[in-house]
Amino acid sequence: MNLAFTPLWQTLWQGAPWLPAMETLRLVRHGSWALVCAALVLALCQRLPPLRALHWHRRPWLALAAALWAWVPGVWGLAYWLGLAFQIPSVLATLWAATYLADAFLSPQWQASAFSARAAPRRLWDRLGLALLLVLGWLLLLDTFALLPWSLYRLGFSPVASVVLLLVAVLPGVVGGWTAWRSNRGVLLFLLAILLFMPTRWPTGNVFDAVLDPGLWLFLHALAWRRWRKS
Amino acid sequence: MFSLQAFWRALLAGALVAGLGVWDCTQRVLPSPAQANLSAHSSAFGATDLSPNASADRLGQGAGVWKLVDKGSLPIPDGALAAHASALVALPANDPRSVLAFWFAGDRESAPNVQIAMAEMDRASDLWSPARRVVDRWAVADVLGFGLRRLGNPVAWLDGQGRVHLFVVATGAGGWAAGRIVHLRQRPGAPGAPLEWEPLRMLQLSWLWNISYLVRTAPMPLQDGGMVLPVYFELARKFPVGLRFDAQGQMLDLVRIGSGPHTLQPALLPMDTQHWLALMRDSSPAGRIRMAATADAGRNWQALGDLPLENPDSSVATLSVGGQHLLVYNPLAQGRHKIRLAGSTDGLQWQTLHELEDAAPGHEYSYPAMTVADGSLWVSYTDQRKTIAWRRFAWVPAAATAKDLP
Repeated sequence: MNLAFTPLWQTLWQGAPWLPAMETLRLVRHGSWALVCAALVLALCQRLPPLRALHWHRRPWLALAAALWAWVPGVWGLAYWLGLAFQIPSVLATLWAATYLADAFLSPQWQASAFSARAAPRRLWDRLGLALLLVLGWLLLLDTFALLPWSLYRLGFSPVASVVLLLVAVLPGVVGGWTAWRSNRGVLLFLLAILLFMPTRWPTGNVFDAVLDPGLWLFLHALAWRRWRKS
Repeated sequence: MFSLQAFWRALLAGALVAGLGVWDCTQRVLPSPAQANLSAHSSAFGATDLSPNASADRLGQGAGVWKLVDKGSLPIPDGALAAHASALVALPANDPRSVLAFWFAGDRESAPNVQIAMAEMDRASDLWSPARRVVDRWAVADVLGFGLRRLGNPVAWLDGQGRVHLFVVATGAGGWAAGRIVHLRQRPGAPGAPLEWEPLRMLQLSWLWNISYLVRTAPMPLQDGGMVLPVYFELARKFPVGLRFDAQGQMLDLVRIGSGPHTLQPALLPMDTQHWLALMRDSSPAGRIRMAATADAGRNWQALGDLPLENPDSSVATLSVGGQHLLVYNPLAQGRHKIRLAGSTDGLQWQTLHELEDAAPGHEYSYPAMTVADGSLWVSYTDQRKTIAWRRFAWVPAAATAKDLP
């Protein structure tokens, strides 16, 4: 074996955790919660009949208010208390929220596309991605309680986990080209989350925290259930 | 069929993945193999300040006894009604303070006003300084950018550059099972200057909102100036974990010491550089101290069963000094009204050295801590949840006589 290759191979598996800079993480935490809260408020306006009747889903004020509240520093800010309970959203959840908001406020056809998306045939890669994240979440949950014979979460700090997830993320593009990513937004966001994680280490230095947080995982269960019922 | 376009896409993707993977690897250090520092406590207090009859090199070695030379209670911060979970750390010989003691103080355990208190043993006068509050959850939350609900157990460590680190339990939304571990470090300052603390980060240990990891027992020093910090998970299942840090206090690895479901608060003991034991509190009704062992410096652990010592689901403290292993524990199947210092040469067979407290049922002496400084063994423990008691022992070799003691 090439002697120079050995340390690289060892580092791939055993490299010390590379953690995000604390100075920027504070801003990232507030920004992530701002986007996620705004998207959640908008989704509620869209789905709750009383709010929908008032057409609040077409007005950005409530979502904007939620985002601004999350930006408030200190004990009066939403991010302070959400951070106490849930720490920080994953990069994937943040990107998802950002695209949801961009669709709503920047795309005039959002309303129509939102409904047509639900009725559209399921995208193969998105379905595979959804299944992958659901399984990954279950494994991470079992690992949290030491119910797996090995420590999966520990592996998330090593470079090998990032490389493997990056390989999975580029696979649709390799097989289907750009079209695969364009028509499977979830898979594209998954790729972007890993590409953003690798240089920044957001949010925790562990790649599993970048692509999946428990809140997103619970939401994905609801999404899978809804799709399964409609299929 | 695999088209030419797909080939180029695969090539491009492969280059991207390989490039990012190699770049990721170059940003990291490859930890050297861990080796326990068997003389860590001798080196921590320096030869110049030793008592006449106990040198750093000979402390705890050969035949001899630990003789009680002083005792008392730590000063309590003004207005603090409760005190619990002390931690001790020995400072280098060039510091005017020999030992720092940390504990949590407030109205009661888990009260909103609980803060981490500290007292310093002055090397010249042999007196404890007045206690002062050094870690406030509001101030730490301001730096971290999110709230902390309560503060709990502190653990202290002196890094390879002589800086003191504090690891403090801080809860999120919930009780202790929603605990996390905040890492703080001493701010730069002149030797002897009052210690100030900067929060570095919340240790990231779990995917589930990073909850339910707590710290209680002392770190085990390594030869590279780093340490292994024993922590534990306690939501529904309790299991211990070892965190490895380098000499600067950067976390390098985390390894499960066991999978539970009843073992917590591991206290580490190095038998040699590679072979370590973990003695653990057991929350099951068994009333014993559980044990695990590693033969490869913490990479893999095996459960060893129970020690033949009774223990009422209560925290223990361990320390290795000059080849002798020390253990402070509650030697009862139920109740914490008795606390004992025991010694061993193999970590398996323990002999009683001192009964530190032996009171009527209903009293509580618990959560011990130990360190070695100024040629003495220092022991602290919670006294009735009101104060922190301390004891100082001097090593008296078999050849020495009692009148030679300081």
